[in-house]
Amino acid sequence: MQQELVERARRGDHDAFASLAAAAIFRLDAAARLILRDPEWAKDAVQETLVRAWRDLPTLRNPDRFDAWLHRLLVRACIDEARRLRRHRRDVVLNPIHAPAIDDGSSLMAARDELERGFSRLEPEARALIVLHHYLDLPLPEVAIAMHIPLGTAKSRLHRALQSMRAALDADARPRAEHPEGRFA
Amino acid sequence: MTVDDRFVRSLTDWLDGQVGLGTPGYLDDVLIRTRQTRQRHWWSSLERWLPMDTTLRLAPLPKLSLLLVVIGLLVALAAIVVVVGSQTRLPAPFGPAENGNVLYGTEGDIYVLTPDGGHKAIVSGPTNDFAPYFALDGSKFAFLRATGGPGRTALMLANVDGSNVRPLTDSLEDLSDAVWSPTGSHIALASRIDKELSVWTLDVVTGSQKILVSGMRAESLVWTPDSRELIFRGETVGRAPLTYGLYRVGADGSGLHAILPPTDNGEHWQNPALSPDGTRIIYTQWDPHIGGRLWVVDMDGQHQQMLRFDAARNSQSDFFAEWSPDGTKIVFNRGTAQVTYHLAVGSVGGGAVVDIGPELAWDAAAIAAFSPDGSKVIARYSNGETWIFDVDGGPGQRIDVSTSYLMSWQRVAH
Repeated sequence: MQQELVERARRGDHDAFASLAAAAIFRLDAAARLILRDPEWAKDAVQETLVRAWRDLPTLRNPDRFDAWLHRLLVRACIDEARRLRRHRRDVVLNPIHAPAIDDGSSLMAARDELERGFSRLEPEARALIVLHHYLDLPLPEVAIAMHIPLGTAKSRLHRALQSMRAALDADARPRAEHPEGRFA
Repeated sequence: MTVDDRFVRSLTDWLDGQVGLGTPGYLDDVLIRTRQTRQRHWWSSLERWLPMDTTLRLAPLPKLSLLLVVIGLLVALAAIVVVVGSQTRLPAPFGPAENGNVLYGTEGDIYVLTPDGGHKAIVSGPTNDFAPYFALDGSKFAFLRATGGPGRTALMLANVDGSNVRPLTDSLEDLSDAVWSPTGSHIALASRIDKELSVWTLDVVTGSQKILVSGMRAESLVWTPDSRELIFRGETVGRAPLTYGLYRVGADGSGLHAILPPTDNGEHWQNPALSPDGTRIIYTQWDPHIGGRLWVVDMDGQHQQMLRFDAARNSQSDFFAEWSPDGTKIVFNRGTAQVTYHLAVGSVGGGAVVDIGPELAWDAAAIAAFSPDGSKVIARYSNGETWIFDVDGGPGQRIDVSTSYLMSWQRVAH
């Protein structure tokens, strides 16, 4: 079904493209919000992604690769957006995109805050790696293609990004860990 | 479950929890934009279209390379010339020249690649500038500046050192090509003028404009060496059936005619490039059964001939060629049965070719051109990487910067 829509959109059928865009926009918007940490910037990146997708769709050689190609456009748009914003010296918004809708306990909230801090400290490129692999569930070869980097580089950068997050979380937790076990027993 | 597993699981859960439900509210806005956006031809290269992929394509493309050691000698030579009171020599607009500096745009600024391999910004600031291209005499360059709105840009001019930046045009709509004349006095453009798709020329000194053709979508503009004519690939608009043709028109707007008969097949007459002596045009034609093929034809439409090369590396398609400065070689894309492509250097006489550069996935073709002295090929791949290769092959050298268009190599007098 998707392949047929892609074929039609490649031939200029805008209704077919609208169907493809409607099916993809939630996933793209979510990924862009995670990478850019700001809903307005994410909106700009997704709009740019879909306009490019429509414009360049006739050049897509293999309709089966539409999703992978779209992810690549999104990553490029996000990184372009991040670089543009860096140029304009706007501060990155570190607030959560969506606060959890339910009160799930203070310890879980604390863990989420730590993840939030660790994730936000990463560069957009590193966040894109994590989002592609751990949110969109793309296998690493697909992540490497989307990021335009060799597979080995994708593996090592993802490993470094996760290590960096963990190190940041460990550092945040360190003051508590300095107390010997049983001290307050 | 290990500590790492638990961490990744927590991370995944957190990522899922960060995102809200429902369709973002701007889908309709996007579709309004896409409905107003024209799709690219499937064969076209990334660099041909705005806003991100615009190339100022100067006919024939100036050739770049990193033989920057030569620059030092040329600078010294130029200094001697100044000392003895002579004017700075400029290269002839066609034919081989020495390799000068390399210009590129990235992250909204214009950079020059210095002889020691450094990167120096020569036009910078809050504006979004891109696609710099040297005039054929290497004495100045033009570039594009984003002016707000989808695909809207202004054409700018600067001295070779990036000084004296000034606008040549107001905001342009649907700009698809801009080409320096060999004399350096004019730039030919294909864009919308008063809502009408047009081919027009701009006098860079006086600012006067002249519309040569209107009501036609044009691309691949190429000046003849004497600056008296332009050739281009044109597509009729606003009337059925759509036709595609290879046209020539006088620089005064007279004598518009098709070099080859227009056709309703959009896979004809693609990416035309004029030989340095102005006598032959090479272009790409696609066949759904055999793939791309390169053809040459005389300027008067006579002696049309398909080029045949050795079928090395399981090649299936040959497409998008550019001439060497002396007109003896071409560099072009070769597609394979494995749906990959690479670059090759060959002769317009066909026969053996030299494969150069990596084998890449076929999402889009590479844009390639020869260096001014013809010894190198510079190529920008669809992943944004730029490489320089010897025409005889070899591993090549990657320029460590990502751009959206081909870098411009300055032509310098011998």
